[in-house]
Amino acid sequence: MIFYVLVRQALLEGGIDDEGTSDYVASMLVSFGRAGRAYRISDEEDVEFHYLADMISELRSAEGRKRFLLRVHMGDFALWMSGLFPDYLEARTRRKGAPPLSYFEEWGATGYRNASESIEAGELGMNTVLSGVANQFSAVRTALNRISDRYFWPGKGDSISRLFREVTGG
Amino acid sequence: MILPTIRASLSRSDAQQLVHLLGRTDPELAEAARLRLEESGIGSLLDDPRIQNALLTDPDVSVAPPRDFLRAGAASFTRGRNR
Repeated sequence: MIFYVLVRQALLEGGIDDEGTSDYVASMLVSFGRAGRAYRISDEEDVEFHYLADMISELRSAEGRKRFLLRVHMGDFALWMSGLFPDYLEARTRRKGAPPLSYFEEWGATGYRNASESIEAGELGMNTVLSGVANQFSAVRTALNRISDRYFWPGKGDSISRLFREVTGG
Repeated sequence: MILPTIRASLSRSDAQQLVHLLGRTDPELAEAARLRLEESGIGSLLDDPRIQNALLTDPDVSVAPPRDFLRAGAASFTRGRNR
């Protein structure tokens, strides 16, 4: 329940009044908190993906349910990374030229959007939720940044860039 | 795939816990929360701006600290496995 409340109130603060989105994002956080789940496209899969680029590559040959799961996981993984660990990603961008937050936003939203249009999403009744997160990806990411900055890693990172990131989504 | 199941999993005891948290300092607030629960459902209590702080600070709340939970889940990439 605590995860739902944190996500719901952060989204409300950002103007997103959608219980379905709150429930989905909170459920994702709970699942990804379990060891290794953030790197697997489902509980049944053993193969781990640690990079968005690997998921994109895998999509080229994937079909059916696996293709759907890969697309959803692209969204989940990108939202998890850019939402809860933005300081880490930005530091890697500065030091090593790693992809910026906008890269995660772009591919995350694309994954959710493509997944939402699939037959599998319709069968699960997930079209609306997935398309909702896709269309508001930046705002949802910003809401998770607020949770990350306030509760998970308070007092760390550059306070100016944190504020800028929370306000502008940039 | 991950399905949104948290709201559906909330029980009557969860609702009672929210009422308790919102009214822990004042019986009138507890009664108001109970009325809101009956009239508008558990969503109205979950959306109350006071509930977040109450959940995070109440010593009687039996939830694992969310920060530690998520940090455990993120441990592999913070050790340098991700890029």
